[in-house]
Amino acid sequence: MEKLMNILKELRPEVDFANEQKLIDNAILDSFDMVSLIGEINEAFDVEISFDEIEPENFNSAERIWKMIQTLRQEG
Amino acid sequence: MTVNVLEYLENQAQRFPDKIVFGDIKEELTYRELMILAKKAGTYLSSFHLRNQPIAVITNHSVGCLIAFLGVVYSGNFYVPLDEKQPQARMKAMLTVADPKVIIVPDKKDIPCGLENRILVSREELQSVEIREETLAGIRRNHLDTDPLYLMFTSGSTGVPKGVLVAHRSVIDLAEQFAGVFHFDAEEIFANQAPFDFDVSVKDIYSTLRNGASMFILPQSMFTTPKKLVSFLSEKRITTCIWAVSALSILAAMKVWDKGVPLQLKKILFSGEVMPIKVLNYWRKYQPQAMYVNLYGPTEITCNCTYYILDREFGLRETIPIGQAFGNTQILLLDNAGKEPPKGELGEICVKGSCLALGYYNNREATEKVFCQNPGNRMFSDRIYHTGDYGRYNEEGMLEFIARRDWQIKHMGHRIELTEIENAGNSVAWMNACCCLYDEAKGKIVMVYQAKEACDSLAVLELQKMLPKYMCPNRLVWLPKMPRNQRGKIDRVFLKRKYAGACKMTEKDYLYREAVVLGTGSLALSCADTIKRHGISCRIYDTGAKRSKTLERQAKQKGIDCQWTSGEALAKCLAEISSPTLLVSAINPWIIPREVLENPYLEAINCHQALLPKHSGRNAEMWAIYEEDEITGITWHKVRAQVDSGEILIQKELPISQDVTSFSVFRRQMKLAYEAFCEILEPLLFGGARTQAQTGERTMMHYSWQTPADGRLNMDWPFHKISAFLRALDYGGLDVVKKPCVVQNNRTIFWKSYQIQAEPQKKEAVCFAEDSISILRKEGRILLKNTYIGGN
Repeated sequence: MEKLMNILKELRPEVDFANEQKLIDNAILDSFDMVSLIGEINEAFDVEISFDEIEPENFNSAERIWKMIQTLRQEG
Repeated sequence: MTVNVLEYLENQAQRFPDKIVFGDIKEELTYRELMILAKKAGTYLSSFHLRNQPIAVITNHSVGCLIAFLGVVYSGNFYVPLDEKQPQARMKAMLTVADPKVIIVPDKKDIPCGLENRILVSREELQSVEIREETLAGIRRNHLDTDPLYLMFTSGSTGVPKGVLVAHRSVIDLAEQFAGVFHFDAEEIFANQAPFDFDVSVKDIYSTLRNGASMFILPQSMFTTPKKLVSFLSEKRITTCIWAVSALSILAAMKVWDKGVPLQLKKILFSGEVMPIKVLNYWRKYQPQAMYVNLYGPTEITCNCTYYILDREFGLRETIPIGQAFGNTQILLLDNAGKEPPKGELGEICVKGSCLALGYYNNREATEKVFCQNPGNRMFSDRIYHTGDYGRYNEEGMLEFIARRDWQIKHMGHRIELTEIENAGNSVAWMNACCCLYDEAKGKIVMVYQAKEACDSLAVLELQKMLPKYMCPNRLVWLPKMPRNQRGKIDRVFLKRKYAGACKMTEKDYLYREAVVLGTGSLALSCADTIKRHGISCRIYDTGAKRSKTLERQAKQKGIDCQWTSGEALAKCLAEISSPTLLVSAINPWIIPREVLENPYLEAINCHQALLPKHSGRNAEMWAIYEEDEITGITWHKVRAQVDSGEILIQKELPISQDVTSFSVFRRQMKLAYEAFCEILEPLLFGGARTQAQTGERTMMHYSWQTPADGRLNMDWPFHKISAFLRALDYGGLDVVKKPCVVQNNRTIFWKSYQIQAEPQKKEAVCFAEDSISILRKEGRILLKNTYIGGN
């Protein structure tokens, strides 16, 4: 989780990832952020985020993103 | 001959009155409805009695904007799209340049800041009058096709955005050419991705109107919900996309077609930046039937001046040509002397024709710099536009884009002057200096800034107040001191190499051309030797308390300069280094002072004898053994102000068995350290070494004057702890720490040597002999030999 927070902080240092629950719904992260994030996550955690996973529910908060990563790790 | 874009609307309103022309997620309009609403708006605006004046339209990527645009045109004026999400400072700058007489806002309840003291009209108000055909006809009679249609802003290198003014004639030329070359007709259904303050949208809007087609607005937010986006494209039965390369890239990265392709696109036209072949291939794989077109051109020539219809596969290393000029447009390649270069050679791409904009609004100086008289023509007015892009013709006679002349970049589909971002940075009070660079390989804007302290989030927040999202840096680098060359100018070349360069692995491309090794022993020497063998000039500074003649001699044998120094003299020397230098600290007792670490040209790395963040500080191997760690190792890390806290370059592990001593561990650590150093040297020299921040618990730092249990053996300790204690303090006779002792009856007893025997004993006892002490335990026997009494 710490690793993920580091990635998020580096991507958008001004966003409060500890508390934000609507990263996508409130357009805090845009599509460019999403794509950068997907790339970094794939590399850092050795997973492959596919089209199926790209839903607001999976990206709306740091916890949700972490959950998605863990699910992918178990499957993979 | 068409002289006004409104003719397109009016012709199609007659042909297809009930056909949907524009739609967004909330509403859809037919041609007739659009014409009526636009005429009403035009009638309302005509009451201001303005002619060929700027009327701003606050845009939010909806159908309402388009009604407003056309209403402005009906009133005989030109529209200035301003995105509602614009940061206030930028909005202000644009309003200062354009000085619109009237601003149309979506509604008067929610007015963006910065519009005070201006005449505001809501979209609702625009519709509050009856159409007055005679008024509109009168305006129309006075219209010329050279009258301005819109004013669109692009990034300005001085920090002030430039407003490109485009006439009806140029847009009509565009619409005709596009229809002819790409066979647009009424069957076309466009998905408009580009916001309306971006001239890519001009192609969508006017191609729709000219051909009697339909256009659906694809909101930016749909790109974060790609499933919805695909449904949208499918439901609306989109046939044609004239999109920015970045939009196609994003969907490819999201693998948007992997789970099925619910629709067939007919035409995919892209522009804005160089199309990555990987992205192109992804789209071609899933939409093989579509026609793919690469479009090129700056805003100043009305969207695009050249096109290339892809007619073959492209390899990953190839670039797609920008192709040939549209009809009624001419491309000139000019060299620095204003002449055509020899065939196949580079020249600046210049454009001629009706597509040329009227210039930069309210900025004669900037206009005259790039809209000039053709140097080859002395006979009559022959205007050409200098793009600042360099290109050349390939063997097939197709034009290729090669490079940009200056600090202008293409990022996220937008044209950006890096200096505009720097200007924003420099206006922040606490930023002492800043430099913006573009990392093409990663597609990221990097801002290096100098300030008293690092404050990345604060910097981003400040910049967001002034710049649109796509101009905000993606990565910030704080430096206590900006590198400057002899003339005091920021060393952009060094910064680009270090923070925004691609890592090209050829010997000639080392970023660091010199090295300095600080240390006291064999590790310093072997590191220096290895560096030297990479062709980098290197010298050693012996920073030990006592001068090492051995080190000096051995260094001399290898032809490496070695000097015994430390303290202020060394600090001054290192702080003054003004060329990229690698500073290697290898068993170096001297703490590198702040002014040395602040030198931006130095990359300081240190070898620590433990697996950081555990055991920071001195004699780490001793503590690892004493605390009975199962494993230790070495860490090479970047040197930061806080001791042993910098980012990790590499770590190597060393298991601690029950028989090792500090001495033996240290020796093996030196070997590991050298191995590790060899692994990271090349990436370091290129400036591309990967690092990882230290994570996990940082244990308390050990100081050189600290000794485990203050050097006192406690007889009550368990066997393993006594063993660990003895071995931890065993530096093989080297004078590193306090000599261990045991206190008994007020006497402090030392010993010359010790032995640990793992033979289980039947009894547990402590036996004091004449010159030895035996500690008998179940697990084994410990012998302290040649004991003597000493002072503490």
